[in-house]
Amino acid sequence: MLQFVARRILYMIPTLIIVSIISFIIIQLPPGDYLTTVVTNLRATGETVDEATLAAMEQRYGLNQPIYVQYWKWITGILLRGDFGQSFEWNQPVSALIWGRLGLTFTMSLATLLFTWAVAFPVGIFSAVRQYSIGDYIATFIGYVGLAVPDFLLALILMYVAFKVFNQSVGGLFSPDYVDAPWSWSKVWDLLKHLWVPVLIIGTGGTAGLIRVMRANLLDELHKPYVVTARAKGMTEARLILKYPVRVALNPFVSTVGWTLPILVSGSAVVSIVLALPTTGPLLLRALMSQDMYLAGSFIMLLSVLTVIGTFISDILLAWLDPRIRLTQ
Amino acid sequence: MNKSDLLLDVIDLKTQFFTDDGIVRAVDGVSFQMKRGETLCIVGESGCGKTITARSILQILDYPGRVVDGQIFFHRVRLVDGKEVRQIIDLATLKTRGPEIRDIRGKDIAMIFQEPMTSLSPIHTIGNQIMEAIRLHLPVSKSEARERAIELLRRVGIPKPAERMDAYTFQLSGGMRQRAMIAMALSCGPSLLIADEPTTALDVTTQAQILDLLRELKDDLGMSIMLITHDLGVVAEMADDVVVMYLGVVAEQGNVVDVFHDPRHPYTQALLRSIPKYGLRTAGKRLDSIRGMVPDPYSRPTGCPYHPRCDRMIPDKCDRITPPTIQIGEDRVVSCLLYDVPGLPTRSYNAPQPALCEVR
Amino acid sequence: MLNDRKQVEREAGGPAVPNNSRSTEEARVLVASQWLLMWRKFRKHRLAMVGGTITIVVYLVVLFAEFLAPFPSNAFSSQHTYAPPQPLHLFDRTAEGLRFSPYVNGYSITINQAALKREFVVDKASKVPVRLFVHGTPYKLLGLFDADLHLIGPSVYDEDPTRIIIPMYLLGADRLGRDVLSRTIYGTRISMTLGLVGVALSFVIGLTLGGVSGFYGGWVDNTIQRVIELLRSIPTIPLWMGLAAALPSDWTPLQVFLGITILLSLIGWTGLARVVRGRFLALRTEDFILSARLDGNSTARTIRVHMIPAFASHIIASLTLAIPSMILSETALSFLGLGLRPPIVSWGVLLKEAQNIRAVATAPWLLLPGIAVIITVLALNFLGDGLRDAADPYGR
Repeated sequence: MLQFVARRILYMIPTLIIVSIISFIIIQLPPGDYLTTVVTNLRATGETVDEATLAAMEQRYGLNQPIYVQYWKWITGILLRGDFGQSFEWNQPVSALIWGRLGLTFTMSLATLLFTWAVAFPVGIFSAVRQYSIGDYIATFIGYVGLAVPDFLLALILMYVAFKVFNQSVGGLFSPDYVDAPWSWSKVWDLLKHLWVPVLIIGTGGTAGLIRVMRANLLDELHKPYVVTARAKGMTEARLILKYPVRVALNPFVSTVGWTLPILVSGSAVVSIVLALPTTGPLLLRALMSQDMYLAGSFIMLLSVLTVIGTFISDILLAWLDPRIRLTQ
Repeated sequence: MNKSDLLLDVIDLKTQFFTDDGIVRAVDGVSFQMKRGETLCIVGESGCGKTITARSILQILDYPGRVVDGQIFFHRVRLVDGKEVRQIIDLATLKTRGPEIRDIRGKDIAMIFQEPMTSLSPIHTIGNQIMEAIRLHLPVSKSEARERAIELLRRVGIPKPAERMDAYTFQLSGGMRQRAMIAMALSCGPSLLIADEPTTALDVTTQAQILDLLRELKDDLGMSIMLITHDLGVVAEMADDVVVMYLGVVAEQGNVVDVFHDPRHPYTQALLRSIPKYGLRTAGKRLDSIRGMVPDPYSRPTGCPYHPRCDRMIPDKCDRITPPTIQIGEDRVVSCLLYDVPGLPTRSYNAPQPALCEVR
Repeated sequence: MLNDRKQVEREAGGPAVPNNSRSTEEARVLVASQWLLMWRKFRKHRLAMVGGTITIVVYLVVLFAEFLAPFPSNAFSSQHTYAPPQPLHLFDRTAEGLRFSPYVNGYSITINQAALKREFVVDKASKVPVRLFVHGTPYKLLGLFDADLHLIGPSVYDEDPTRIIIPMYLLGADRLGRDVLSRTIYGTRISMTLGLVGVALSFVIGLTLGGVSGFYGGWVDNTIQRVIELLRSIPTIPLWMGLAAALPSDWTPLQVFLGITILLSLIGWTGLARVVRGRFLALRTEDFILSARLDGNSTARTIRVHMIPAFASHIIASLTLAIPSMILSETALSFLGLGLRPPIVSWGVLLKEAQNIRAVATAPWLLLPGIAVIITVLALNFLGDGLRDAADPYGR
């Protein structure tokens, strides 16, 4: 097992390096370098530009040096000092802006993941065991619709309904009283009260997909010979289904975390923009629009890195669940 | 036949699969008897309903299969408080998911399957699966179950049984897996072991070992074995009695020596001719094979199901008349119109027995 | 597997069995080609048939958008901003009784001085006649033939093709008084085309890399698998946002269209590559491939003659299932303002109009292009599922 974890960590390192390179490329993509943007920006606001500051910045980011040196300076700054660069739009270090929003993004994604599982698991089992029952048809239908309706459209419709019917807004993650309040239990509670709306919206598509996965996996397993063996032992139907086929079908189900997590993070970005949630989505969009590239690049990198780590954890979980992976690799 | 010797009495069993494309009559009126302590081989080509017959006995048919008619009388002997309790139970009337049939499965009648790899769970240890079988039917603690499971593994010839308890199926060889499967089936001391092609997936040496093991266990534990196979060599080696099936019906049943030396049904005769014999080629002969294939399950031939392939088919008779079961000797029946001559008794069954009666 | 099975059946159906009990149905199975069998199986899948029909209709809309849309996509009327939908009446009650004479009711417009906006009420009294097969704004049919026929339209068109003088907003009007129906029809063209082109591009990348990966195995396979894993573990929308934002703002609409398509397929090919590789790996170990090679076929010939026919059906199914996700991605990106931009009209661009709650509250019909998205994506999913089931005609 330890060996397996070690190998997965080794696999992960190049992935992380490439993710950082892609993010850096995105930072570099817009025409002109960072400094010219800063200078035009400062000039536009009527501030004078201090030559010494400029020189210091040039030194800090290695702007007049080859691109790989710039990358090296950027990445070592992040790794050694936690310095993600400067957001010129906010005139603050990027690191001061991102952590809170990243935290909320991942809280939201994890809550959505749990919601998705809590719904998809029992519904998927039901759909498979009672294949072609009315319940199965309903679940399948909802599943299809969930796959076909884009997250943001669902968010828009929900907002419209809330506005027309209940005459209230469903945006935001906190009540006005708590937006700037320091963290406390009541703030957490307030967050939970607001969280279900985006969780429901982002989770619908994923839940639909997972129900299909669970149903298909279980249908494959339900007719395997080992189920007949268990039946021939005299087990009750409910017990044998839970112990054998469901347990076996759980493995590919767990491995779906690897691809649901990126989808959830993607979904949360779009939905957050529609619902104006204080997560990464709106800030990322704004940063991209105003070409505040250090901020945008850092967001993209950290979202990817955290997703890669999430996938890694799900792999470990899978190996722990499935002896075939744990013992044969 | 002495009544108390009877273990299993299957009468006119019909099992059908209700698919979208029509009804498949997989087992279409099968009758046979099985004595206590004997090995009965059911033999036939693929798709003739051997496995379905066996699964009908335990009521573990896959959807959409269902026993639609007939009786399966199981003569159960159990020790309750040191006393022998005898019961005759019609398995065909029990609910497929009810507690009565579950009480019999694994305890009185156990089953082993063709593919030990896929018939055991890939993600549970051998020990876990055997202990589960024990604890389902016997009131023992976990550690007692473990002791018993290790003992069973040792009994079926698995070396280092205590270590193997924690092994997964993919860590064992095919022969070891089948041994573990047998250990699991034996865990509650069944009086009948149904072995569905237990050696088909194994190599020849391992096949012989497993068959030896089965024979040895049968003698030691005094159980009966219903062995389903398509291999006539296995039949010759193992069987006391043999049932030859063709397309969901019994073609012929009898003592193995009688059937092999004096096959009556044209199908049995053809089957026996198709066994390769040493020296056949040097004698300038070709190996006989049965012409054609088992017909499509949706379009069963009318009359005798074997008539399209039969060399001795009687035109205008075999393709119209369903042959009756004809008693041609003690414990010897054949189902063929060739023997349907007046004077020979067709087999008749006793009046239907009560579904559940106790004989003390 | 397919060919294996065929082999068996060929032996089984040989002349050795001159046998009247073999049903004609079975005889038909024995001689039927793989594609015929798949069609038979596909036909049984009712939802897939519905999905297929809708898909064909949608692509017909793509081809004949100009004919079906009453107005060009950029035709506007400043008089009719956010005008609500006018229900279409087919029959008119006249002196001689009910007559087929389609019309819509006009609007009565009041100006709300406080909110400084026009308020529309569909006026039951006024009737605006509507004509079928009306001569309106000229266009080139299929880009080739001059035409000016429209399936449905008002009786009078303005000389200026960008003007709407007689209101006929069957699905309402947007912020600039443009016809939502016409724009949705034109949006269908762009979104569906992008889906097709994007999937075609992904397919080329996926087939090449997936095939190479599956056929050669070893370190090539390993490397490509790592790349796929990498791409799959990155949340796509933020990545697309980053890349799309970098497209130069002075690009022409066509360049943007191509740029976005390329971006979507650069990341979207992984799913297809996995399917191709999986099939290749499974087939490589099949006996009939081994025997083809032992018969002296070259690698290229083995792939072309024996492997591709065996998995073409699976690939077609996967392609069909890839189109909807491509469409959804484009819609999301354009909705955020990072994908296609006006004057190109796609479903996502149209939905961007509905981005804030005030617009949606004033004109909920702006969400109608979303219905088009949902129906199309559902239809393609049904079709794809049906194809996937049919791709294995010997399966359950």
